[in-house]
Amino acid sequence: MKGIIIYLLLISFSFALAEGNAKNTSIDKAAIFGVIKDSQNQAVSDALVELITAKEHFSSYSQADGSFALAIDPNRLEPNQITILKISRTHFESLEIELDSSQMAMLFLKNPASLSLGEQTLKRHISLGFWLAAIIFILVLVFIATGWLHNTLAALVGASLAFLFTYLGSLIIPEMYIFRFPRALTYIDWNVIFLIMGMMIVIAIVEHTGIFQWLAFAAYKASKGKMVVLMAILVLIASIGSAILDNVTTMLLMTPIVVRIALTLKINPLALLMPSIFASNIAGVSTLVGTPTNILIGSYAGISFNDFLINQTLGVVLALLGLIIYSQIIFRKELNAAAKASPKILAKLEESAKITQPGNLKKSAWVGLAMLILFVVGEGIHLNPAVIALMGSTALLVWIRPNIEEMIKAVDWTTLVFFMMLFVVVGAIQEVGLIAQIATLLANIVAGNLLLAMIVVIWSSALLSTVIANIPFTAAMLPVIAYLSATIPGAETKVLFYCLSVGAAMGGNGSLIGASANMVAAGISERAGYPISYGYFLKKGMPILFISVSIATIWLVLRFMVFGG
Amino acid sequence: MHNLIMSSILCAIRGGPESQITLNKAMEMASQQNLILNLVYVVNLDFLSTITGVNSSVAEEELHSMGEFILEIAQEEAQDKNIETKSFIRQGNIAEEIIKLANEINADYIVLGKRKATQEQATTEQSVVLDFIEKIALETTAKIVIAENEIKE
Repeated sequence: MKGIIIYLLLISFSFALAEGNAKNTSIDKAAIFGVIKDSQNQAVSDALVELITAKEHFSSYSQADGSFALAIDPNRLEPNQITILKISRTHFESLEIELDSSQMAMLFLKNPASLSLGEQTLKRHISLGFWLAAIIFILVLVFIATGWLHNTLAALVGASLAFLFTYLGSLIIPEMYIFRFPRALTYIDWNVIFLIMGMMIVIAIVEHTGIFQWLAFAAYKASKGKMVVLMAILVLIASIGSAILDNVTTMLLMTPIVVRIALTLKINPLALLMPSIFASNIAGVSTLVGTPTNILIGSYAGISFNDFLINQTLGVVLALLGLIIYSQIIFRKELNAAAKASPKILAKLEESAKITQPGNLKKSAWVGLAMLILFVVGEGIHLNPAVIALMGSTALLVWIRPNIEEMIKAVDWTTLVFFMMLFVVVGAIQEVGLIAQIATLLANIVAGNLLLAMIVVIWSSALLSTVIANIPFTAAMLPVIAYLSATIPGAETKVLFYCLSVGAAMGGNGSLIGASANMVAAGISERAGYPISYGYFLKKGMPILFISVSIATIWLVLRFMVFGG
Repeated sequence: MHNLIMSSILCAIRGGPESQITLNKAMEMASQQNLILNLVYVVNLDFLSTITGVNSSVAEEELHSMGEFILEIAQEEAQDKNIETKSFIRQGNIAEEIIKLANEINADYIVLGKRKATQEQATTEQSVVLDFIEKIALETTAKIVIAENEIKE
């Protein structure tokens, strides 16, 4: 349908061109139109389109939608000479079309003088650049997974290597070419960058208010000594926090107070902390801003705040119920060991769990509510979530008037640079065709079966997220999922994107390195004398990965295949 | 006046069962020898070095607050045994902060904990612990006491 519209527009353009020419009473222009796609029916931009004869040469480039319009002067052509239309682009095999006599005749018509070549397919060329980009991506994943380099540094090294091979390597071996800087910039998703930046400013204000500490202590009081109730309320707080802020901030603020509550009650803090960590990884998937992976998915696939809320929340609630039951079983021994708190320590606990900035908290709550409303209604008025986050954070800054220098420092620029460089690294493997190869492979495996595709996407992303960083993994998978969504009947509901969202986030519970929130909580817990080893996390986390992902899988199947999406 | 002539112990704690062994040892010594027990918790943010998206100033505040709480619990336990205590909270490299504080308060003893290690970790762990102890022993005049095995400097 989109192709037909493009053709109609192109033909209209050719008529307009012809009309213009007619007014000048002589025809000195003609045009060749077409659309260039790859073997996965994706538009190929920046392809060089040339019309070549023995004496003449005309050229143009394809646009972002793959369309091209090559303007030529028919007076410089001879109808009977050999005329070749050549389409070439790096990382693709060149395509040469010899125009036959009827096609050539079209260029000499008076009204209109145009030739439509329809859709042309370019085949991928596996170059040395392909392998270099693949190695760079794997290296970045390894650097991040092993902690050998900081995430941001790993992504910077990856992006720099891609440019090194392109600009310097290709001078020696042309096949090393990956992509140039201007092309690399087109892969950076600025919606993601601005949304994260806006949310960081809001979080920077909220995290100083003491709200999480106060809530956790309120949970302790509300539980009235019933550890199971306390654990369930803490799970709820971690869930809400990670759904509206983010997992890392939630666990950074919750871990110390959870440890303090547990020490007051003389129980092992891990019995309260582990369920909170698991909850933060599960609940984030219910909103657009809950996890960085959801921000990536939402921006790429055009999934709104409401879409996530409607399609994921019930699945998340069911998974959280599974988590509470599971945690009660595996931590029952530790929870049952609670003792009466010393009044002095209890007083100290209460003192450390006060709202520290009530004024800022109130203002943050109002702005947060306004942002939430805009996230919900924004879709209807085409208000981008990144714009809402920027407006909300600016409103909060103007209202609170904090030290702007401190606020700018509070924005985690390393994370923003990480995302920008990650987009470049993922763009490199997309540019050379690696993503297309993976998409084709996956499409062959699932063979048009939506249920199988859902299971493969959700479980492979969940299990892979336990060993590799889920943000680069998700960024790389987005074009793959887009291809599967376009080719598998029934997948146009974007269900596979939801599967990716669930798998990438809930997979974080499978291992200590599966999510940054796990590492933050483990680091703080270790500083309180309760280290969380890789083995311990695996033992407690892998079962909850299977429980929560199974529940979410069933929910998504019901939601999209039984109830029709 | 009484405090000025009393010897003192510096005990680095971080909470948890392993730290409890260290604290027990320090309390036992303080009680037997009538020493002042100085408790220190060192806020260390090294674990954040490979994690993105964390506001380190907030992490610092949170760990500081948690450290104070851990010290409070330890102090209460010591005071129940009529041991005179003081608590300190520092931030930075653990060994360096212990050394600085030991020199500041002229500690006579430094009680350190020995972390349990699994079979495969044992060699590495032992080496790290010994390096840590050696550094402190070299740079202070205090006697080093390990929670389970008393080692003379």
